[in-house]
Amino acid sequence: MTVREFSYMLLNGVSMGAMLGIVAMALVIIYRGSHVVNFAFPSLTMLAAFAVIVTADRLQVPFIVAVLIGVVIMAVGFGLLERVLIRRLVLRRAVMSASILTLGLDIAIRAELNQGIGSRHLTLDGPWGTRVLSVGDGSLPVSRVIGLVVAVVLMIGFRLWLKRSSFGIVMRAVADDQVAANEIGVRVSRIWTVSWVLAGALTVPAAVFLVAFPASGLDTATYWVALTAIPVMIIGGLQSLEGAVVAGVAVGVCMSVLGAYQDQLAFLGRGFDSLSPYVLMLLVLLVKPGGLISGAEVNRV
Amino acid sequence: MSRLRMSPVVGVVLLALLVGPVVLPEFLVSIGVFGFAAGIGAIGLCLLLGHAGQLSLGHAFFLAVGAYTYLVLVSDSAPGLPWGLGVPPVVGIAGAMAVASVFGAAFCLIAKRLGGISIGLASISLVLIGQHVLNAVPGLSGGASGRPVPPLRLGNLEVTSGNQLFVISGFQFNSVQRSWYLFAIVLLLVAWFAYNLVASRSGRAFQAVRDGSIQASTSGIDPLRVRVVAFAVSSALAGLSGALLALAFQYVVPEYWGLGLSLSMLAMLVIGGQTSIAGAVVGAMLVTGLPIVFRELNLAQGSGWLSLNSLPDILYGLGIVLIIYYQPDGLAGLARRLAGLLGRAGGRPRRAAALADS
Repeated sequence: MTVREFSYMLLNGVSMGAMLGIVAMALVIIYRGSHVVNFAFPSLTMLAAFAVIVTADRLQVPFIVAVLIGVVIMAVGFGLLERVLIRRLVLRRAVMSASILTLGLDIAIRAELNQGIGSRHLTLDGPWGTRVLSVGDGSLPVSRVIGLVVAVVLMIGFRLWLKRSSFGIVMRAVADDQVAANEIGVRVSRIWTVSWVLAGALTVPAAVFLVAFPASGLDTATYWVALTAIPVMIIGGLQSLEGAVVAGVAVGVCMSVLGAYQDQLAFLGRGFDSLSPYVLMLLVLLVKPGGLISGAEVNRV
Repeated sequence: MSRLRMSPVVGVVLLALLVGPVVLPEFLVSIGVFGFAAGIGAIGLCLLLGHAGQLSLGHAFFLAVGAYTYLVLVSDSAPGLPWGLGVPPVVGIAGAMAVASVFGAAFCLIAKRLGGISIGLASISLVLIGQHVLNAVPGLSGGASGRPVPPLRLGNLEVTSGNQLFVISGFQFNSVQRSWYLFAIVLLLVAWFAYNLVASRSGRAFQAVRDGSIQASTSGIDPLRVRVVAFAVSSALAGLSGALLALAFQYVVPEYWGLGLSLSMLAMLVIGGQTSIAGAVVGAMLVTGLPIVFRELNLAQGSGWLSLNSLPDILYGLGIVLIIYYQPDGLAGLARRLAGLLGRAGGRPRRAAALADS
């Protein structure tokens, strides 16, 4: 393998993995806040990409504006979801029911999206076009580089906000111990809404870079790409934001390496690189039952 | 549950099962056959989710394990053709249940620190790995184009397929009608087993874990053991269901055993009422029947945003959302309320069916 191929493989893996880490982060934020798993996230990720693509297309606005509009749409949408459908159930501590409800939503949204998209590939025309950076005698897609930068900024920014800002501290308090937080006067239900809104907002940049060049655009397969955030979340330890990111990068690199060596690994079956996150998840569970960074979730009973 | 046995509802149901194939049009009998087979799997999921509180989205995997174990055991192999061992069908069915059960227990042990919702997340991997294996091992699955299912023979009668007509006192029964009776008998046996399990100490241990594994452990119940047993039992039933589904289809393809199948099973449960065994079966009939009815009425046509093609899926999805929001007890809860209104025996005020929440 040449240096060019190796660097592409690594960067591709880290970049895609970081995006999956962001999607997983969104899941973790919701789960930490209210112990609900938002199973609708794969179809909502598709919806986020769709929103940006259609906005850029129909409204003829600059790309960054389309993304911002997408963020607003998804943030508001997630917030409404929480407020209208989820809150009542979480107040009754019916988190299983709430999670199953999101499953139902996912079924419906995915069915409609698959129906509408059909066999098309809806391309996202980012400002980076199809440009590639020349590195030595190799080339790396600009979109992947920018994606990685965005992911790092989001992760660091979010981490700082959680640690430093007063609102962030309140969110962590709720995640740690809802009852205690409630007793010192925190409006726990407001934190729930904020978790969902944040998750919705985070979904958009992740979706954008998951479908951008050199990926083939938004199509029915995007669902399965987004679904990979589930093993990422579990490998990362279900309640850990750092874990989600680390796991994402690990999974991304793993998929990238296996994809590059597909031919030599043909005996494992076609498409093993796409399956590898799930196999990796089972292996991690065997070795470290609580995930890589097991925190509050450790269920020793 | 003795009250249930003597209730007139049971009598009506048994009568319907008896005369169904004779009076109903063929496509409805067919829905019955598939519905009974799926209903067995739904009962398994009801025990796992409704009673033991473990979300499993991997049910399609255990259905597939059952189906393909049955296939491998019962088919006759030939050079160049898929694997087969040629054993009698009854052994095949037992094998299907046993192998599926082992997989279920093994998975639960691998994911031993997960439970409730989180094990549901992990179980998605089972379905995807299973389908990958099926597609990658043509000896097992016949490749993407699938493999035929050898018919179930009792004596020298081919029960689930074939053109022979079985004649009793002037009535002729074709293969679909014969399958109806066979599957209905199996379903009744499974339901009887499930009702007894729920009422037993094991059943109460399931419910204790569902309602709070920490609290359960303080009363001497080992939640991990309960989870393993719950997974083993529900996977065994799923294996049985998968084998019967394979017999009903007479031909299986890897594509069928996907996440969509798992989600359909979940829909059956939600529609029926998460803790209700009878509800699970009714849910199974509805979810199995809807696409078939759609096809009969020629509703699925066109493509694009407004076509009716994906309507069944959209309906299940929204159905789950609405039912969980407005009527979490599903149809069983509705039936209970109705019975209460009519002041009948089954209408005693009962503790509201506790959902798998903790």
